Amino acid sequence: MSRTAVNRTLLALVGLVLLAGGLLLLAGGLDLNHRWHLGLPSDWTVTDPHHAVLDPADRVRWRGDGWWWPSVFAALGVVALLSLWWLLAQLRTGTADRVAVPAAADVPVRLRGGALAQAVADGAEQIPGVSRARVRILGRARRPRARITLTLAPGAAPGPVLHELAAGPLGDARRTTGVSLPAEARVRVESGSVPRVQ
Amino acid sequence: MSVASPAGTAPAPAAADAPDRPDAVRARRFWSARRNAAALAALVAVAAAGALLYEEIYIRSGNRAHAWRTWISDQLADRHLDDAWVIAGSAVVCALGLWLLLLAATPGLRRLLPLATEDTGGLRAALDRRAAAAMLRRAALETPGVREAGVKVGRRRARVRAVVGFGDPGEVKTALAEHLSVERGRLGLVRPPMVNVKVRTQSKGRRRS
Repeated sequence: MSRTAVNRTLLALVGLVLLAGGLLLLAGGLDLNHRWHLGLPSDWTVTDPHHAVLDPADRVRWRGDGWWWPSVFAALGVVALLSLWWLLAQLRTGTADRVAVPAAADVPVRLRGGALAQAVADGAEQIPGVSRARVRILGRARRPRARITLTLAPGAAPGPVLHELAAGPLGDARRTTGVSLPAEARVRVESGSVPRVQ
Repeated sequence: MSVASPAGTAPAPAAADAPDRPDAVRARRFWSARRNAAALAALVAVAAAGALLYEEIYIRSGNRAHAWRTWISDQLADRHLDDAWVIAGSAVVCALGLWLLLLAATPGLRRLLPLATEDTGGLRAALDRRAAAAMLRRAALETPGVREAGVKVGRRRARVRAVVGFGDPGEVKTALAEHLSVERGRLGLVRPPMVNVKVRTQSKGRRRS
């Protein structure tokens, strides 16, 4: 699962928990269970507007039971570790240091991701209309993908440049390495070339 | 395959016919990884769970609870559900939850407009909104009679405000609209924005030197 998918799943999960908890408290505070006949169990203390948010009696209710403390520590520990892992996952750049080369499957070849990126970038900068190209190889060694940031010279159109990029440097990189290398390009235009009028 | 000259007068290649069939290619947006939101949510969760865990261990090993812990449990015990603070807090929590769900479900990266890339296998591309604005602005300024131009590009619409320096404003506007519609094709977007053009004549009081 990609980081995007993980992030979005966990964000949705956290969002759902917050929304459900908030709605429950709100329904309790505004007495909606009674007024709108929501059908929440009436022995839930959260449905009574005059009840405390968390009664000390409720808080210590299960303290005597043997399962309580292990469960509390386990739950808090799991949440803390999981969130720590989630946090650290955001700090990674996602760059592939090495790329597996299927074209040389019988010879052990080590291709650095940076070298492949540099080759594509150098080729891209040769395309007429491109003033700067930055390439990063992302993902894993066996499934690398390229992220290309193109800065066009003033007056150039993205269409032909992209066509040449796919046919030229990107196609060459795919052919020589045998990697399918899906790519996404973000196109900008050189700034400062047009006189700014505020 | 020709690349337009810097003067921007070369005819637009294949991309120019994209505006005529905007639905032919599905606009696949770029999806953000939502790193910032995820990092923030994770940070808050780590801090909260870590603090609670630390406090429980601290108390269990025979110490008195810290003041913050006592304050929180007192607040939770004293405030009833119909307390204004509790209701406001719950509403904020609901809004936060909705916001996170929205972040999870929407693509984000609204600055990137998908480019038509049907002839570039395995290459997806998007044009920065500011780049689209710069291209349109350049085209506007190349139109004879246009002295100044400001362009704002939204996701569906581009607004061009031009100041006419000489010539008949009506004619300049017609030429400008024509020029911009060519440039709109050259952008090569899957969904080219509608271009709204407004022109005004140079007002004497605000003349720039």
